[in-house]
Amino acid sequence: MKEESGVRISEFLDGELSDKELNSLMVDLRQAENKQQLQNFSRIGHALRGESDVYSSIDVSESVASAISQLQSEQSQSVMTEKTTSGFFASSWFKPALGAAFASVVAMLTIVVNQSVSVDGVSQGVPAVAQQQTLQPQNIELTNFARSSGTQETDMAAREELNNYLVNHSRSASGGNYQGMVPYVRAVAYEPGQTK
Amino acid sequence: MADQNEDQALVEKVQNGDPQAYNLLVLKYQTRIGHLISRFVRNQADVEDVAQEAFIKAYKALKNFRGDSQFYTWLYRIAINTAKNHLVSMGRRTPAGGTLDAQEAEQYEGAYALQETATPDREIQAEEVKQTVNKAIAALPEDLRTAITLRELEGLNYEEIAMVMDCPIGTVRSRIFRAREAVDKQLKPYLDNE
Repeated sequence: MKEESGVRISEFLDGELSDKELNSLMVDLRQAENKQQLQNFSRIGHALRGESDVYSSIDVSESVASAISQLQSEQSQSVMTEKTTSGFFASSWFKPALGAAFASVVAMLTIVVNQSVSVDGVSQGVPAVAQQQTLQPQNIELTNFARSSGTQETDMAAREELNNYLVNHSRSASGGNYQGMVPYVRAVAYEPGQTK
Repeated sequence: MADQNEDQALVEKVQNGDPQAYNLLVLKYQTRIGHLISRFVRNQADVEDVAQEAFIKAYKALKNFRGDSQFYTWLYRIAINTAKNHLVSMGRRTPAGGTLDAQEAEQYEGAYALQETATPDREIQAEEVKQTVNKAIAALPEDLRTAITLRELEGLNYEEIAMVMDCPIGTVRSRIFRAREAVDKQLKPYLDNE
């Protein structure tokens, strides 16, 4: 070990080391031998002053240094993450892209909402099914009804009356855009193209 | 005063982003902090843990240290608080209810006197070290003995010692180093056994 390092260590313990020499001491203390000498010199002082030597061998410098280096790496990592994130959000293409994505979402939502309103029948527009089919009012063969009734004349009169009712119903359903009535008419009606 | 300047220079280095400078402060004060904490905390492993925690806390807080007080006073305060927190976490009462300053803390002979905490082997060794140092000092040439005694026992700085001994500061520096080196040689057999 160089005497120069030993003198520096001794001066350091006495608080007499200049700022410039502190840097040299930091280099000196990378060697375990120098570090040991610093501890020994420190113990001599304690012993001279009559202080107990029991805790003079305590050395937490390694563990503190490693904890600090871990702290620093965590800090630099968090700074890096922050920079990356802020850089991503601040990039020139991000804001226009975000705007376009937002506009697309709004447009999609508008279409979906309009469609669902139409399906519910609240829309003022005509539903697709109603537009495609314009049903013509036609007579219905009510075989069961006629069979359950009494006389032939009564049957015929009732059939005529019922047919008229259904014709009117069908006419108003197809012409007045009463969408809820169309399925009913289709359900009870006979096959399209069948004549009276 | 010189000590304070040296510490302040190291503190500024740490504040400017040089963590190695903090290592010097740890090396310089760890023994004193260990002694201080040992007055509160029972065993050596706990003393080391609390000392480590105190130094890490001080490092984290160092960016806010403005030098209004001396660094070691500030550090001692952190160490005392850390030791007290340790006692609280162990479910023990803290001494004196709270406000010990650094000097009082060093003189505090509270619930855990040093003699109670050390193992017999360590006590014997500590006594041997003390006797060896005293013998080695007594055997030094007078100029070396005077220089180291004025420094370690009287607490004079190099300039004051130079005035007392009527010699240049460089000579004082050299004498103190040579005195320590001579004592260290005598101590080696004891310290190597640790």
